Amino acid sequence: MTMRTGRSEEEPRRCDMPARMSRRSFVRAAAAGLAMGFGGVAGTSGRARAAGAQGGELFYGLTNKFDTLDPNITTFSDVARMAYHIFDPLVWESKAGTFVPGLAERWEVNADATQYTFHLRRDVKFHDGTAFTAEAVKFTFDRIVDPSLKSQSAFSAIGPYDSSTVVDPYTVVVKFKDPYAPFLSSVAQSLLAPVSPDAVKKYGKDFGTHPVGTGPFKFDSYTTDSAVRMVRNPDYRWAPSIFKTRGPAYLDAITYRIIPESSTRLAALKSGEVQIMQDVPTQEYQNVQRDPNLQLLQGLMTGSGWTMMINVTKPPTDDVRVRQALQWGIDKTAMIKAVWQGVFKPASSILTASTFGYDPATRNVYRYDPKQAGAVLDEAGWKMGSGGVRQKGGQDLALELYYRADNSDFTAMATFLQSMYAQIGIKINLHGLSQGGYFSAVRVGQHNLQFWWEPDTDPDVVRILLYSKNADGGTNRNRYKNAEMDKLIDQAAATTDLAKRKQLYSQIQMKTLRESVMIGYADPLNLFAYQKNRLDGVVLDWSATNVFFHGASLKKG
Amino acid sequence: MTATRPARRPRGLWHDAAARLLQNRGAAAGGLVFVLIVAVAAAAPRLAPGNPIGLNVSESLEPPGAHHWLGTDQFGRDILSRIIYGARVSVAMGFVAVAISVAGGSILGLLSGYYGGNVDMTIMRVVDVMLAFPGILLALVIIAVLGPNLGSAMVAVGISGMPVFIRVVRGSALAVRELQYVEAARVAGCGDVRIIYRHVLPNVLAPVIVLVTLGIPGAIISGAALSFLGLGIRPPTPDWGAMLSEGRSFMSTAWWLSTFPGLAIVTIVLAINLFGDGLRDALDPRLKL
Repeated sequence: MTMRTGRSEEEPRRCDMPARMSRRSFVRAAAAGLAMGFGGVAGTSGRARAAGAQGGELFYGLTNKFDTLDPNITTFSDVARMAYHIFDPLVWESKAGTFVPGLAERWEVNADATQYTFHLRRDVKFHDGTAFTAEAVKFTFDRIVDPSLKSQSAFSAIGPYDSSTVVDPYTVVVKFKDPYAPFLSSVAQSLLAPVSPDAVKKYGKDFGTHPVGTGPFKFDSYTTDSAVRMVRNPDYRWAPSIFKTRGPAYLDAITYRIIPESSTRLAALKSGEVQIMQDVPTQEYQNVQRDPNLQLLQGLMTGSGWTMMINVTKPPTDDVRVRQALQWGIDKTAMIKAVWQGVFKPASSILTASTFGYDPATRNVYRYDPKQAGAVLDEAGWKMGSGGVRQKGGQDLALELYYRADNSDFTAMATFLQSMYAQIGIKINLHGLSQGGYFSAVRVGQHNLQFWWEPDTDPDVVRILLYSKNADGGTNRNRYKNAEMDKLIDQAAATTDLAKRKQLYSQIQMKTLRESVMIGYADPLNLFAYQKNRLDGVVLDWSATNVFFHGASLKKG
Repeated sequence: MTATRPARRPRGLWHDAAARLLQNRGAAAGGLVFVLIVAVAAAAPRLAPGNPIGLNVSESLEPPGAHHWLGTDQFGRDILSRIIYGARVSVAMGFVAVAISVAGGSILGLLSGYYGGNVDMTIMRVVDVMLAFPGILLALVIIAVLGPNLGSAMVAVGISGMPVFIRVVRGSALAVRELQYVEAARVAGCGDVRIIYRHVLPNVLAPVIVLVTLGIPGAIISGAALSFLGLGIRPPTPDWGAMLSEGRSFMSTAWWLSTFPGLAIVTIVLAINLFGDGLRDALDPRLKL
């Protein structure tokens, strides 16, 4: 079992926060709500296909600077987005829990999910001309678990990997130390995509700036912190069935331009400097929707959305009634209107509604009810004082909220919550700090409250939030240690029976709510936009995380 | 010119200056606007039509109109009220930061200019280093150490504005210490402290006053810039720089969020600058009525 450690909050975000990449994922139920399957949104489908759509260079507005272009090492979802074009996964997840062939034509899993056999395509070549074989798969997986590589997300995704055995040049058997049902979902991510062994040996540590894979585009150039360019691979014949073409891409080249500021990124899209962008700011949601030249691509984020962690060890939030009052006292619809212009969805749990295992029954646990909030506070001995702040034993009911002041989402949330909770007599002291000051405060538990945001494709994300081993200065800033909760989390992650697993996650969510360890405020949407008169055939994946250009084309304009 | 009017009673520098200042319309208008802004800041609770920090999401992002003259922000807070209250922060920022610059700058400048030698050498080299950095960068470093809040923003802006004052005061002190009345005082047995305080300081004051009026708008802008970067005052206290920053992402959908705080900053800076320019002319001894 790999240990999840959160890192998303360590990155700045105005929807600009790099999504920590999804980890292994169990077969997930198709999400209710907005998550879309492949081809769900493909622009004006097919229309441009007939008329000479070949050629052209696509420009993409990327949000984040990143660490490396090596998919086996990176921690950035933006790199994974690009890597799907330079590399191919062994299998593709066409919708939650449904897999189609990629570099593997077919595969078998043994009964207890400790052994996977992949039968590979025989016609695949890396960009450097070497043949793609079982050796390359073994090389890639062995490389990921080699401690000297310091692999991050891929290392998490590969789980309890033991070894790979090359049966023949096109058959590889992958073994695990423990049952690992989520592996197919992991191997469908670009994180575990096979890399060219020859190129890795040739470039060594520089492979991250000279990535060589089997994908529809070959890496061309990287201008540090500015742009990544890739050009069409004319020999490509192995696209999965989910795209319009199985052969080479229509586009000549793609350039991913890094534009961190969201308004600048949008301006670049409107001016045609880029044809597609990610992370549309919610302030511009209506504008983009109304713009006749632009098309929105959207889906609910999976994992854990905008939440608040409550320190259960520091008074007065060590009292469950104070924590519950924070649940009763929040008008989430108003919060979403003020902070995210009504674009996001109210959260009811610590998992977003599109995440496998999300329990809709969580909606019935709390609702906005200031009277009820007041009642539990009265019961806890916090009586309304003269200044509108509740008091007990001469002391104000004051909670310390720590957040990063350089992030406008955090600042807006903090501003809103301060006024919101003042209405039920809770005083929120705001501590908007720089990154360093923030971490040194919350890691030692000076806070009562702090925000969290954690995209993931698997509900095991709760391990980051609630597991006791992450409680002492780690990612569980609730500082919540509960043996029963730990047991539930471990059981859920080791269960391959979907119904059983779902039920375990339901228990975890309900327990979290009952003890009010965390509050879910909003389920965010992942928002992309593109010029609909220029670009065609874009595909957004089911988890609304990646857009694919395998079958995309530019219209003459 | 003055020689042609010998009958006139000799007047002091300050009297002359005040007369010249009043004749300068730009300066008078600037001074008047500034005084008005200070008055508005002082009377904010009486003048503001609404609650600057109250939450009213049902009225969020309303454009300027009869109900809210300058519109509302994303939390439904009245922009006009926030600008009126924000004047307090800006005015305080300007005065306190410059007071820190003046106090520190004058002391170090006087020491440097009066004593000369190694004291001068040391202080001036430190000043050279400080001047090598842009002021805002120095302020950012100071805030990184002190933590982001209004107090440290004031200190940061004050310290980063200090080198200019040190230089000017030192220059004047260098000239003054050679003058005969200083020598006379020394012969009369005055100590260094007394000489500096009684004889040097009053005579370096004119350029300092001009510098103050020019330094205040600079400090206000630096303070706004720090708030813009999220390193100034904490929400929900209204502040023009922070309002500008918050409104930035609404530029294309709700222009009033950043436009009006921006105009407020322009107005106060322009007013003090005009006044300062007039004051500089007025205090220039070469100009006579």
